[in-house]
Amino acid sequence: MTAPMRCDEFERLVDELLDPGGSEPVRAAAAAHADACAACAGLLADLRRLRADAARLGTLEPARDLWSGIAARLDTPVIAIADRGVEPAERPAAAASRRRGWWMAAAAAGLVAATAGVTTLVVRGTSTAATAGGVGAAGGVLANGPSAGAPVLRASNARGVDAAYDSEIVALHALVAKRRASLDPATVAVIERNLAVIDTAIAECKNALARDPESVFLKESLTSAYDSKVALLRTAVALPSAE
Amino acid sequence: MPVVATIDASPASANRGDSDAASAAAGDRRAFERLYHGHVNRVYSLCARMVADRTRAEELTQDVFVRAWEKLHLFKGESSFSTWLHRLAINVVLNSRKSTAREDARFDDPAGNAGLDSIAGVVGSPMAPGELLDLEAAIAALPPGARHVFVLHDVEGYKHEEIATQLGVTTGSTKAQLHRARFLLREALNR
Repeated sequence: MTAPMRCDEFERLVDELLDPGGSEPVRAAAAAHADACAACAGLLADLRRLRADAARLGTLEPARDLWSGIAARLDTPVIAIADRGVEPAERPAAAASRRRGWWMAAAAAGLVAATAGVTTLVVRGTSTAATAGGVGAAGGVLANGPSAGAPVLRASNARGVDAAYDSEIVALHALVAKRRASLDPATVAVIERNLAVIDTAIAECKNALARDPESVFLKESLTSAYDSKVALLRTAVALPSAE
Repeated sequence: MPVVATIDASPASANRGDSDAASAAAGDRRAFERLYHGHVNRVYSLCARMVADRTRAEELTQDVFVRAWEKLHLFKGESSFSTWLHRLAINVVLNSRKSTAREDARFDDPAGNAGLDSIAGVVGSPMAPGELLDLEAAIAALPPGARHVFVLHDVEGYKHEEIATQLGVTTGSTKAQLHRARFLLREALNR
């Protein structure tokens, strides 16, 4: 014969009566206690009402329109950086580094903006200029995800896309090479890993396009991969110098 | 009984949502905007109740939809789009670290009243009865751990196993947090 449940035990085990599952003997003992104890019966009734009220809480509405902000972010290129732990901003000497590197980043930003404008006009026409040209070197967004901007392809094939991006990529590679010694080695490693991933994607897209030259999906994928590469290089150019 | 999916409850609505999800995954912005309008209040409700901060909830809601746009190619239709989006929203909220300082500050309030003011601005439904407004405010004033489990279990209808997986803790921990939350809420509402 099991001893009757005490009030402190009931308090501890009352959830057994509120939620499905659990031990049947415990539920039975708790129910028997609630039948015999007015205080614990009141507790059980309160908690049951609380649970029912929680389940019928309605939906809430944001106080302002959120779509415009979301739409703006969808138009902003996003660069995949896997490891943000090496960001200079998190290192103790970050502030000093930033000051020293600022002039270089600013100079680079000017060059990048110029090349970005050319690429935008060639690849996308003027209607989508904000996507590439509006971001510039310092405006790139770092995040752990693929490009959020839906690509719009104007060039007719892989060769056309290549030509549009080639000159900018060459120029950006040259800038990154000049800055390489001043950057944190761990950051450089992350950038190179990401560039390798993007280059693999570009190569796969080109191979697939060679077999299916009219595929809009493949053209968009190729443009997107190139966008990611350019954006990553722009960000690398604008990174503050390491200590 | 808690309702997990109050939106897209009808088959027609669910089909339309899944169709829009397929279109959006292919880059159709208009389809994605329709998905947004169909789901924004539910996502916002989850965010608002989880973080108990109106402004932060709006930011997180935007984060959820941006992430959804990025991740739509991973949506394979094994569950409804609503369910997929809701789980994504929970991940975004739980992975968020920006609200930590604000939540900590609320906890440090010895009277435990800081959440009441903020939730007054969070509640957007003018039809909510007074008792439910009290409950919303009391939930907002809960400690974050207890609040997260209470919202996911008693408001959203998730099981302990699912919550434990999402939070990366044991079911024993989620049950303890739920117990704590219920007793704190009872005390707050009976004041």
